Amino acid sequence: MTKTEIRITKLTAAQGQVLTNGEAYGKQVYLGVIDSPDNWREISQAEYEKIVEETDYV
Amino acid sequence: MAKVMTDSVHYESIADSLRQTTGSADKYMPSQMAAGIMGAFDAGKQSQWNMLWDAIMNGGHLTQEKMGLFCGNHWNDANFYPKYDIVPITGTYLFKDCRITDLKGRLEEMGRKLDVSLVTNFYAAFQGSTITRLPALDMSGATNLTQVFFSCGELAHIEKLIVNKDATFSSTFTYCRSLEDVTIEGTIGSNVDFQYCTKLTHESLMSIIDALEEKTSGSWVLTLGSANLAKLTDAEKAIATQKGWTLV
Repeated sequence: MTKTEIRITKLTAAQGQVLTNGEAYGKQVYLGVIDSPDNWREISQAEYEKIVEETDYV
Repeated sequence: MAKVMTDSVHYESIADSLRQTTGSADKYMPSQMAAGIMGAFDAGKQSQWNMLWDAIMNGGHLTQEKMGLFCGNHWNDANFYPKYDIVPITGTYLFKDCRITDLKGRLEEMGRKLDVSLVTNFYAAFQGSTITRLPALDMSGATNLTQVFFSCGELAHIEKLIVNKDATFSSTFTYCRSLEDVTIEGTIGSNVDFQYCTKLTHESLMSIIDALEEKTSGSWVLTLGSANLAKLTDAEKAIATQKGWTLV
């Protein structure tokens, strides 16, 4: 028998919101062990779509 | 069928023309002349093909910087028959916007290799192309992988990507909506985004996760998107998070 404990910190955006750390965007975020929830905040879906629309790929 | 009267002078004239064209002293029976004419025609085509590809590929010696060697929508399956292995020094715009489809298959058919191990900058190398299948690409010498496959909407299979841990992946796979298979060899050391590649296989996703560098400080994000995250178990996600990578 093996016992495995899997610990992952998952952040889920509220309805109509998107999580961002200023560079990446998503509805769900699985934090790396050196990351912190403090690095992530919610923005509105409309704000996110505006950012995507204005993204100038380089 | 109408009958055409002829005599030996006509045949001798055709035979002389064939000998002049081919530079040979061959003798022709009338029954052999059709094949002789086609042979001369094919030899002419081969000669033209040799001249063209020697010019395009500098006689097989691509030692100088030559940007965008096969860039542009004039390159397609009908004319891409490389005479030599493709060993570029610069990857910038290498196949950008080309209309070649199965690049891997065509290279195999021609017995040629695409050796990109000397390239340090792959900026937009395949951007906007219609390529569906790529051979193994040794990108271990490259630190700039910006937009390499940007908007390659039909690219489904990449045999292998050998990557350098110092390489940056800015918009490398953006809009690669058909990508299913990719095997990563080497180490991924900076943020990379596969969110548009919603068809990636589980094996491909695990190959990406396995290639992630162990991080002890900083902020590192592997963006997979919800469709790909749903293909992974918590234990598989934890492989990435334990290495210091946040999955989005």
